[in-house]
Amino acid sequence: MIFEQLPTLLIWINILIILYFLYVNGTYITLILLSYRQVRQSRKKENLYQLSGLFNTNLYRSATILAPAYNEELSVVASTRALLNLDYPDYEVIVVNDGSKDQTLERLIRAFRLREVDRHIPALIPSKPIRRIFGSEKYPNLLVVDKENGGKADALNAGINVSRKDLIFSVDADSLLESDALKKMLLAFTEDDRTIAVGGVVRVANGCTFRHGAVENVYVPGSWLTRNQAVEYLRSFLFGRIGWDYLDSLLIISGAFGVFDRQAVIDVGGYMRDTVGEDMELVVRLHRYHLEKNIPYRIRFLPEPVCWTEIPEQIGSLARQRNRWQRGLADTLYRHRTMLLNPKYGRLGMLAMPFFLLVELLSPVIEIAGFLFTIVAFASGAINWTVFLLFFAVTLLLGSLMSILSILLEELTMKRYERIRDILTLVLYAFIENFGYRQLHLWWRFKGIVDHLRGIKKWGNMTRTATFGGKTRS
Amino acid sequence: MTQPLHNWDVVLLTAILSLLIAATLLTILVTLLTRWRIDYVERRKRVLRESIGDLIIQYTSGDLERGEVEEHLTEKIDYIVLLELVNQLEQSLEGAERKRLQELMEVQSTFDHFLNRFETGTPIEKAKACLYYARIRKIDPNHLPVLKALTRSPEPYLCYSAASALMVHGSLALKRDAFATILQNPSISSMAVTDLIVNFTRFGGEYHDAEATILTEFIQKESISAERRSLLIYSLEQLGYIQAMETLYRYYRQLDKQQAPPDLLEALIRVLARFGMAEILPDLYRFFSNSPHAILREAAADAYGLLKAPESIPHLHWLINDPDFHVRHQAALSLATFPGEDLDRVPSLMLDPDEWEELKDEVQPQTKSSP
Repeated sequence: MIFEQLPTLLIWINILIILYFLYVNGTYITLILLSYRQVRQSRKKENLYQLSGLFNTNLYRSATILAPAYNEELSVVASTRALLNLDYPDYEVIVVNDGSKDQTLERLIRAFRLREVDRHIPALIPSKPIRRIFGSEKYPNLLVVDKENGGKADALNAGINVSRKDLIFSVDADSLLESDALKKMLLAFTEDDRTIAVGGVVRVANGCTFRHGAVENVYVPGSWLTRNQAVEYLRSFLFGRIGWDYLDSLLIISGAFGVFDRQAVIDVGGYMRDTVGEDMELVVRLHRYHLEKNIPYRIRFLPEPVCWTEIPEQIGSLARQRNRWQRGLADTLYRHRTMLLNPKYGRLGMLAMPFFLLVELLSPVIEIAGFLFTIVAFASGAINWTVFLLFFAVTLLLGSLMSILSILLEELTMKRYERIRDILTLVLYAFIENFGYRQLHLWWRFKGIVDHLRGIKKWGNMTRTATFGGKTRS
Repeated sequence: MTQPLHNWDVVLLTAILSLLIAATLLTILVTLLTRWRIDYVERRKRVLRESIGDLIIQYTSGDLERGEVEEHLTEKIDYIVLLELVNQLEQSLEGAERKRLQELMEVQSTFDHFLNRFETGTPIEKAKACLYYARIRKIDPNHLPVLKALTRSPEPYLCYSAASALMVHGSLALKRDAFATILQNPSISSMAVTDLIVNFTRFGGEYHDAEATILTEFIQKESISAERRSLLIYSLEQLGYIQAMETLYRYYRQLDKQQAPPDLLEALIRVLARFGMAEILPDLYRFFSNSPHAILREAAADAYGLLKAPESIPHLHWLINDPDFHVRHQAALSLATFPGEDLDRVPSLMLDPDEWEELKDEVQPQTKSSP
């Protein structure tokens, strides 16, 4: 009976696969095209708000940079020093040592001549107890908070409680901000009073050279694993997010680089502490809170402010990172499932949430099911090899084309890579990533979904290589 | 993919694949061409920057006349490079050299280029032309009505840019009209409005009396939102317009203390206290130590500390036990500034003892070290 129905079933599965293929690729191409338009508009509007008078007063919005650090002894001093060299009139840096087991705190104490200070901390949002607060003899705008280990979200919440500024700027302790990043982020708040959160671009630091806490030369990284990630960062994390920004439906601001209105974060209860995707969860909660209460707001992604981050060099670290991202995504979508296909939430509920569910979350399941289907079809002799191979070639080429389009957009708009050989390397990896990297990535994400269903909420360790401490490339 | 599919599938897929191959090759080609073009333009700009940079140095040091500089500028890219260099160098020069450098912004071709943008440009180009106007020393007075009209544009950045130019070149009446328009436009952010306020006063008269009068006039206009009026009040204080104090106080007296917008009352309390206006104290005791709005209780606590009347001390003791952290914190800070007042003797009945100890530890060293 089943075998009699198999051809019909296979046809239906075929149709579903083609529809899914069209949905995924159609959305990605649309996002890339929209992002091109958005970046061009944004470049044209650059410098329109000159704010020549504002910075002569203390009437601009002050900011706190929050840098949670857990076992970051290799990079914490260099990245904190870079944070203290930003071009912004009124800001403080709060490094939150989240119960590190290594020498993170000791290195900070030595490098910045820290001494214990008294500061009353209101419990505006929940966090684990703070042990001590340090001020610096060298830098009056530096505070170091030493607290019990509670995870990244908990550390950020502690930092928000300690902060007394208008905006909070979350960065990873292993990231490096460009000196004008904060001012550029502020422009979004200058353009529109409704702005409550702004994300900036996270770029791959591996392979680049750094001097005195600033990027000197932008090169592509050296290894197979990092080059694949460099292409992925351009395609998914840069132009994908700019496209969503164009649609006013941005669901993710990277935990490594985002500015939030402090009061708005406090109003929604701070970062969620029992999730590994606290950055996305906060953004979705901010959307939800403002939409449900009919409070006008905007959440933006800007293509210009740049933060350099060290990406995993080892396959194990990358696997853990992607597994964690997938669990975070699954957790956030589950927590806010009532928003899905709910017209009350506008484009967010009708466009962004379904895309994140069907493509970002479930694509590993769907693609693995597709492989299984191919095996069944092959075993039942129902496969037309010519059509199969052609379809396979189309999917691979379309994937590569989207990556190359992203590289072209990078060239047309931002042009960060200085050498033509770097561009050629990225183009080459737009093809190479289809063989090996994508399949591994698929597997890590699939495992992330399984781990989410098993209730695993561990962060996993990352290996640091002190990229910003000096030159990384000879 | 499966047998029920027929030959047309192969044809269709082959066609799509061919198309994709062509598109991929084309994209790669365009990427490489783009890189080549950008590198070419950058190389050319580098050469131009060196030669135009030399011209600028000679001009600012007085070795060349403007006409001689203009003779060397022939193509559009020359003017773009000139403007870029002038923008970069402007902050590093002073006095006569800076003045001469700014004169270079007014070379005829650059001026004509921006002037054309008013006629034909998109809103963004018009905004850039307005900002160019805001940076040069003199413009044709016939353009002032154009700038005024642009302050009513639906594009907020264009309103802001046109108002910026008017702040530099407009008469007091024009500036006033532009401000009235800007303040009533909710699309323009508070930060942009503040920037305009600062520039309004920066390019005003020596004692700023006229500017202060205009700003206080706007503060009393109910047609302008309370948020914007609060912003104006803080700006007056920040810019040191002590002459506005009497008018502000009269306005404060007129307001219904229980019905007026809390933002507006908060701004008035804080600013009048910073100006040393002790006449507001009876109202603070009567209405604001017990206000249902935490921002007003906090503003009262701040004012008690600034005005330092001994009769405010019991009110601060009360506010130290406030349910809102910011009020408690401000009350403790204010109380610690009273000579002879010891926080250890303050009754803190409602507070968690640990929190109270922390608060005292934080507040006392700060105030003891302050003059």
